[in-house]
Amino acid sequence: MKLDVKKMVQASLLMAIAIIIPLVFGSTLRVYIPPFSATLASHVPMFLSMFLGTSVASIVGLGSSIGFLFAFPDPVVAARAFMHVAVGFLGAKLVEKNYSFRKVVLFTAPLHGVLEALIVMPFGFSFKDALIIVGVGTIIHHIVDGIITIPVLKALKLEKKVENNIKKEIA
Amino acid sequence: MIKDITIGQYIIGESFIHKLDPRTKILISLLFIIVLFLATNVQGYVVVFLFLMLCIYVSKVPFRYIYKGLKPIFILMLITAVFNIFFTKGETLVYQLGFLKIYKEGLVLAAFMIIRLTFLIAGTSLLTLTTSPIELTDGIERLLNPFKKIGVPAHELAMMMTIALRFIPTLMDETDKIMKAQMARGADFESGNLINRAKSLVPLLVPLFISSFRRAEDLAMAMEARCYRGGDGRTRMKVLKMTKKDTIAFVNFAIFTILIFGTRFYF
Repeated sequence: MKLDVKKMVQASLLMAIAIIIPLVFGSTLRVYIPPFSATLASHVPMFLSMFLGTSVASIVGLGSSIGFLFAFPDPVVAARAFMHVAVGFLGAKLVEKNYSFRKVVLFTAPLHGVLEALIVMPFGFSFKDALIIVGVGTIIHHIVDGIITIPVLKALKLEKKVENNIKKEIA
Repeated sequence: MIKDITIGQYIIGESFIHKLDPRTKILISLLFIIVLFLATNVQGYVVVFLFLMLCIYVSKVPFRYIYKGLKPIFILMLITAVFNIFFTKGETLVYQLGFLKIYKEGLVLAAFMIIRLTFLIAGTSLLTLTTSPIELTDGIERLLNPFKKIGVPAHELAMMMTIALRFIPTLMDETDKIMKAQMARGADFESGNLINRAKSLVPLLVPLFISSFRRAEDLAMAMEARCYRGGDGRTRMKVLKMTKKDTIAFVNFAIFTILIFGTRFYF
C-alpha cells in the first residue's frame, strides 16, 4: 500500500493528544467509581481517528495504549486502552459506509463496554465488578465523549481539515 | 536537537539496567507479567518480591519513584480488596456483622490481589523509569520487525510513536496556552459540576485539534521534502546492539522463572 505521510503524522498527533488528555485533565475531569476510572474527553481522539480510515483508527488505538504505558505505568489502564483498536476499527468501518456520527457512537458503545469489561478480568477483577462497573461506566463515558466530539468535528469540517473523509452531514 | 524526551517518568542514570538494550527490558517486563500470574502461593510471591528488590537496587532508582507509580492505583486496590473481603464466600467464617460476612478465603484473596497489582505496577514502572521513550519506541520497532511478514507496519508504527512522543511536550504547552487564553476571556475550567466542566472543554479541544491538524500538515510536507518515503531502504543513526549485560539479565530472569515454577510445583 502507498504510504500516506500526512495521515501517518495526523495519527501520531491524535495519539499524542490521547495521551495528553488524561495527563492534563486528570485532576479536574476524572470520574472515579472504583474499580472504574475514566477521564472525560479521552475518547475524542479515537472518534476523530475513525474519520481517517480503518488502519489509522486501529493504529491510533494501538499507539495510545503503548503510550499510556509510558505515561501511566499501569497495565490495567493500558490493556483497556488497547481495546480502542477494535472500537476504532469498527467505527471507521461504519464511517466508510456513510453512517451518521450519532449512529457510529451508539453502535460502537456496547462493543466498547464489553471489551473493556472483559480485558480487566485477568487482572483480578471479579466478573460482576468488570461487567457492571467497568462495562456500564465505559459505555456512558463513550457516549459522553461522543457528545463532546460533535462540536470538534464541526469545527474541523469548517476548517476543511478532514472534509474529504466526512461524506455525510453530522446528524 | 532534543536528545531524550521524557513524560515525567524517565530518570537519567548510568546503572546496569539503564544500559541494557531496550529490547531486553521490554521482553523481560512482558515475561515478568506472565510469570507473576504463575505465582499462586506465599513462597512464589516471596521470590517475586526478592527479584523486584534486586532489580530496583541494581537500577539505583529511588524508591519514592516506584511509590509514585503506585499511589494512583492505591485507592483502587483498597476498594477492590474490600469488595473481595466482603463478597467472597468460603469455609472459615472469621467475622460477621448482619449480612456482611468475612471469610478467611476472602481475606487471602484480597491480600493476594493487592500484592499482585503492587508487583505488577512496580515492575512496569521500572521499565519506564530506566528507559527513555525514544529507546522504548526503537525497541518496540525491532521487536515488531518479525511481524512485518504478516503485514504489521513495524517501521511506520515506530515512526508514529516517535512523532507522538516528540509532540507530547509541544502539545502540552499548546494546551496550557489555550487554557490560559480562554481563562483570560472568562472561561472557567475548574468549578461547576462534571457536566459544566465537560462543556468548558469544547473551547479548549477545538483549537487544540485544529492546530494539531495544521501542525500535522506542515510536518508531513517537511518530511516528504526531505525524501521520506517509508521504512524500506532506510538506515538508522542509532543502532541497537545486544551485549554481555543483556545475556546476564536474561540468565537472571531465567533463574527467577525457574524458582517460580519450583514454588508452584514443590510446595
